[in-house]
Amino acid sequence: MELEQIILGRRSVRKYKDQPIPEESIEHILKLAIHAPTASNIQPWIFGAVSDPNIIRMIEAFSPGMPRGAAVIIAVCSDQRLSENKGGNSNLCTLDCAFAGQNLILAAYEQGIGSCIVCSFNRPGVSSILGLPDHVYLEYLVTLGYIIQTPKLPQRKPVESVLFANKWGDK
Amino acid sequence: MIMNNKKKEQSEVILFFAFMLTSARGLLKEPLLYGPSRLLSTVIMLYELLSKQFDYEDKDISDLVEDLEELRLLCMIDEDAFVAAIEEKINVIDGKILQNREQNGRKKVLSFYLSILTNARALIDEPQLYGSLRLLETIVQSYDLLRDQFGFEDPDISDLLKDIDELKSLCLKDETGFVYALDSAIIHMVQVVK
Repeated sequence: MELEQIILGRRSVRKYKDQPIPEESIEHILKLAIHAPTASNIQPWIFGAVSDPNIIRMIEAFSPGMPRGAAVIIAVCSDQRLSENKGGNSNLCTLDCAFAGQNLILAAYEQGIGSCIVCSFNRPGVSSILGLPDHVYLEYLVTLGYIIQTPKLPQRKPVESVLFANKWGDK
Repeated sequence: MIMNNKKKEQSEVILFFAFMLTSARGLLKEPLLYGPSRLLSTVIMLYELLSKQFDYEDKDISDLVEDLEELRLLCMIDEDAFVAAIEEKINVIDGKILQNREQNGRKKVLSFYLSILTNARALIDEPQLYGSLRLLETIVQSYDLLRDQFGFEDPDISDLLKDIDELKSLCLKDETGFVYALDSAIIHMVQVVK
């Protein structure tokens, strides 16, 4: 697939087939995720790949905005200690993890796997389910699963309305 | 085998209550329209629970729940269409309750659905905090329904219910205290399900 096709074809998918995702696919997706830009090459990200249905059910219960029935949930976390030791900060961790997330969902889509980024979850609750240590911050979750139905292309504002040229207000 | 099924039923119900509690907490920081959406998720999940864990089948409610999934998404993209659609559903359930003259289990389930849908509709015009409040009320109503109509009882949920009244009163008068108490209740639920 061409890059443009991947970017325009990807959607937030909320209904998944009851079909497992091979480990190799997850590994491939994460290999591409970690090639995202990262401040000072700190690479603060840590990915938890959850495929155990019992743990998935538990995470769903503490994540009100999460689509149900995902084959895998990726917990995108940042190592705050690593970042602080290297002079980074939590804002940069969040940005780095967001960049990695974009790679992740595009790589998933290229493999026919739908995804949805979920920020509506109870952080202490899900962190405890995953057994995360204190210095590891759960940034967000990504649900993955084979697509049942592709949502329609959502409308986007025209580029002209979100662009200024050289100075604020100039088009 | 019976023990295993019983254990599974118990844990599925506890996860359902955990979902409602977590939703009540999440709504404090989420857009207003997430309130109706979470209430609809709750009734969708409840029917799934009733049919899978308690062998309860009702064609009318099953059809309704199917439509609610669409409605849940509609509320985030077209508020007017959502209001019109949910009001229509409320009228349909109201009609079913009126047709059902006897006080039986089905009427209780339908009344539960009517109440939650009515709350979801009302949330559109209510202050943000009411979303959390309605979720807490739904916890109580759900447990009453499961206990009275399906014979479900669980000590952990009973303990949770003891805190709900206090949570409800904190919700409207002390947001900081409410958040703290809610977070503690959620962490307790995590320990229960783990």
